[in-house]
Amino acid sequence: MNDATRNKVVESGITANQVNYGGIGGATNIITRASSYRKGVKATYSLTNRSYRNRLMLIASTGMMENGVAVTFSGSRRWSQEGYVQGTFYDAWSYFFSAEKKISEAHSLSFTIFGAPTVRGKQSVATQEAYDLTDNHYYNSYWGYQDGEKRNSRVSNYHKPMMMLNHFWKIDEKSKLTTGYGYSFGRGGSTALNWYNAQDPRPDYYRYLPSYYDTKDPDEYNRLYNLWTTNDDYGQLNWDFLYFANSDEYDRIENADGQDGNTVEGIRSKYIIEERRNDHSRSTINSQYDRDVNEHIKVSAGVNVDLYKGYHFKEMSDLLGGDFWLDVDQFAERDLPEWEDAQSDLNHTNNIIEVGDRFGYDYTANVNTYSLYGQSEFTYSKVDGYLGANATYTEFWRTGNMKNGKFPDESYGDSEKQQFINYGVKGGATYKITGRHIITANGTFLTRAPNFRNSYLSARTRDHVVEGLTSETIYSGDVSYHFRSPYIKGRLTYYYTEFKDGVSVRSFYHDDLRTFVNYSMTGIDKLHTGMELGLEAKVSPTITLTGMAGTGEFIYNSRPEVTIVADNNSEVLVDSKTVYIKNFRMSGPQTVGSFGAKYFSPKYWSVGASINYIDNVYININPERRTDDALNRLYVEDPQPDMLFEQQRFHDYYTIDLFGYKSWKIKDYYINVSVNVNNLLNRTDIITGGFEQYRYNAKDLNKFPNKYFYMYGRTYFVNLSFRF
Amino acid sequence: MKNIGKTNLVILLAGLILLQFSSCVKREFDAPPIDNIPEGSIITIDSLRSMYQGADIVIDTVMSIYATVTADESTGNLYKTAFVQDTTAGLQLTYPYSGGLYQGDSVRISLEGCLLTSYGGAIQLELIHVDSNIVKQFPGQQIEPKLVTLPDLLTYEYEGQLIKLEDVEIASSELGQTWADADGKESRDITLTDCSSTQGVVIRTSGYAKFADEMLPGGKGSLIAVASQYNGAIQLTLRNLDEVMLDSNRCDGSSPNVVFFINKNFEDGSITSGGWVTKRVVGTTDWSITEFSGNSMAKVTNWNGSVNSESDVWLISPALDLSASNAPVLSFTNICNYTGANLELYISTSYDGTSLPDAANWTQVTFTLSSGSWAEQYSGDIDLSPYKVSSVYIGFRYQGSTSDGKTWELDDIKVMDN
Repeated sequence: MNDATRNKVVESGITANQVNYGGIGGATNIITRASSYRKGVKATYSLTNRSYRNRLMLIASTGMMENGVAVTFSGSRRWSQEGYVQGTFYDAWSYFFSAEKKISEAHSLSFTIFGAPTVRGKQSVATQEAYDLTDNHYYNSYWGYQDGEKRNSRVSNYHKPMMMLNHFWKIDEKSKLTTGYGYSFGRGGSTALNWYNAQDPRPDYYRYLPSYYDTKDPDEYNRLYNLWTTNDDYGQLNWDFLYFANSDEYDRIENADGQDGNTVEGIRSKYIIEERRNDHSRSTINSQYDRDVNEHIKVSAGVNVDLYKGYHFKEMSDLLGGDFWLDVDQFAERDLPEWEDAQSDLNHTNNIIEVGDRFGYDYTANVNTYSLYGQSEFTYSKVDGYLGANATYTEFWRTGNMKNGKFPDESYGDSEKQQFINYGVKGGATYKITGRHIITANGTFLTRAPNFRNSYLSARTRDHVVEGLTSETIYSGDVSYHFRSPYIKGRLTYYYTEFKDGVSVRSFYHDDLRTFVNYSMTGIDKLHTGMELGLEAKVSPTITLTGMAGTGEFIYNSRPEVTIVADNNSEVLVDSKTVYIKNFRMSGPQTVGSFGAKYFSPKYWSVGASINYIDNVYININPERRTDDALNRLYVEDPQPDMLFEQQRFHDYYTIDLFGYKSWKIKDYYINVSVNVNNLLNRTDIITGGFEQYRYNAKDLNKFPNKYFYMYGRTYFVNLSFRF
Repeated sequence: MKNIGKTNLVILLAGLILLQFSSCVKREFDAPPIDNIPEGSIITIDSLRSMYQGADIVIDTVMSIYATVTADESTGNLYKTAFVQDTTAGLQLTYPYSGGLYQGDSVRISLEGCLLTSYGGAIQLELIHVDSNIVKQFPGQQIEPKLVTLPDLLTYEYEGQLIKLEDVEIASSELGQTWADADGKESRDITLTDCSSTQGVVIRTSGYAKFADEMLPGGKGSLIAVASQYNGAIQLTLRNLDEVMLDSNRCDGSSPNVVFFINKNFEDGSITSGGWVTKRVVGTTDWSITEFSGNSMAKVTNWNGSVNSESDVWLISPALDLSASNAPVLSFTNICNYTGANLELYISTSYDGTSLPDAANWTQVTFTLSSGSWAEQYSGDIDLSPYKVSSVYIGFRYQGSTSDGKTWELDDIKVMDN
């Protein structure tokens, strides 16, 4: 779909937006008016070795025809049996259709529909030990052989079509009204293994790795080490075992499906594949009025309504040879006294689940936002500028479709509504010192409602919200200096953004408290600040050099407060403790640089190369490791505190990329070939990121070590396109 | 105006760059407030041990000891228990769940909340919350065992410490069995002696130890163990068999490579343990255990306190596999008194182990008989070389009549091979 969505208005940073109010960090408005596409047909085939292998794209556009109609159609498929990483397959289609009818000089209507049904196998992330044992930095624990074929346990399957109807009304020479109605719906989902009363099937579970036995049992260490290093299948899923384990579990369920005396017998699966769905439906209405007040001043105002419903539930995907699955929570069954406690749905107790049935959890996230905005732009010979303001009302609530046994009174039906009123102002100016020297400055202040996901402690089971839920406040500004001459172009930018009072929720197994917990943090302040320099020099008519450098600080800027609640019974285990993460780095590179050279031949070909440098990449931290509790009886003299607090910084690295292009015109046909090679030196030892596991042991950090991502080695991307 | 603007601009940008790079340097990583170990709160194991005055103490002040783990649970000989040692003394630790402490770990033990107690007279520290009590410093620290003698150990000075003994051997009466009962998961106490002391010490081995089913070594040499005590008796705990080097000639000069097929000393109070049976061909007289000065023996008599009865009763060994032996030798001690028939010794290669003995062929073998009046007599070495087959039984036959009958006692029945 890339060709169809290439007409973008990308607004970086804070700007006067053309279509909507925009947000922090810019906005991308994809213009899908059929009349904006170049007339003709273009077909592209691409060959690559990245997440997919093949891509075929077709786009056809009529341009604005004499009858006032413009039609654009595009379709594509990206696919591979196996991508760069073992066990990952890829099959993505896309379609795009847009028609525009010019009804009169004043009115035109456009209709667009697009979507991209995508099915693909996912890649795991592992500890360094697993990468070392398999001698493969792209080790993927998600797949295993079944009947000689690689089967991935984690398959994501998305299709969320979007439809838009737009009306463009040119009221007069100075004003226009643009109104759009959008509707999108569809399915999202990702499969995963689940199991009941059985051992963990994940091959790289920490107890299956040699290190678990390191000092305590050298014989077992050696046995596992040899298995991992000599048997390629050992680190992969063992589907045969899962089917075998399921085959002998004949069980009898009394009072099944909520009916007294109803007995169901059969093979009760211990292992299953479930699909965690996140379907949605969404309607948006946007209407914007634009008016040129005079030759210097334009004003616009608009209204935006967004009605969103997210449908979250689990669906049985594969019983792996068994007859049914019983919908109970095994942790509640183990820890809580009454049989009702373990029921996922008290309205359907002892629910017998077969393929296609919903189970586990089922709730709807309702999020409605209504906003009003206005802005004005002014243009003078020396100074341009804009001012804008908006106000938004957000309401969200949870609708439970199951009555959870642990929380019968807090899970079923509509929850209380959370309501937020937010506003923002922004402004900016461009000062043209001369035509070659320009200074721009922008600033904004806004508040933002917390999002649904970070507001509920455990939306899957209950409607409890984070205590002290508040809107986030954001201050942001940037100043840039632009220089432009026939031979050299440059830009220097300083930016500063402060986020205040953010909220986050995580759920994980807490090793110290020995239970599954909901971990909510409030008062998270963040700071993003830094400088960017970009230069482009045309040293000859055919040679262009580019350079870019950026250094920034993306850091936590406060000591948030954490509350830990038991997932099982919502008992408050830790009430408001301080997390000492001020000045810890967020993930992502904080220093980047690149230098490139391109040669453009007058004969329609070009080649280029660039070298890219990345530094100051830090691991994503587990806040719990920076608390008083982590320090339990540790002193400065002990070796643990330093290890606990230290934030791992990865090695800096550089990569070299190549680029080549050639095009021919044969009669009315254009043929383009382009080649990109990334990571030319095929470096496979570059860690691009990672995270500290939330499950940790303060006295023995190696028990649950960090997990890392590695950059792909050398990859290529070859494009062949025809246009006529 | 234009020029001033440009100059200002350059100053502004330079200022911003400076601000940016200087701020990079300033921002230190945050950390929770962390304390130094309070002064005076680090004590030695010796001073901790001296705090114990006969009553349990829950330690309620902030105190720590630094020590190195000398023995852990990895060979199964210890369970929820480890030993630690510093330069002053050693100490036994117990904890509520298994694992976590390994030999060679240098640790700081935070004593607050721990229970200082004793078990069988040995001082031990109960870690109530292992995770917060133990703070590992670094691994791989090995403590050299202290070279001591048996008399040194008997002073109790080395309780809790890693020790090494030289020129010691396992008491000959123990040989022929394993370190512990691996099948029944029962612990076993094995007596260790040297060449001169009258009093030995006990090596106690758990039935769960990985080496529980290994045969006891028969020679003299050195071993490394952790010293402890149980109700006044010194008790040693082995870490692993690599540290047991008992392979030289014994104190009496005999070869260390003796293989015991039988070593029946009746000290366990059982006639039939180890697969022995008694068979009554005539009468109700049977073999039983008797004890004299702390030594248990097998005894048989047809005198019930008032009359003699007609008796023919056998004590028969389990089947011995002598097929791979060199020169197997049988020996035992026997004692008798009163008048009557002599005890007879038979060997069979056709007996089935369960029937009455007259169903099989038995060959009578002579031995040196007790002269009577409770005289203890060594049987002499009885050569079993003619019977090097896979199923050999040894039978002791007692006979008595209504008119007379002796009382016989048997002990230390051994079949050995060099």
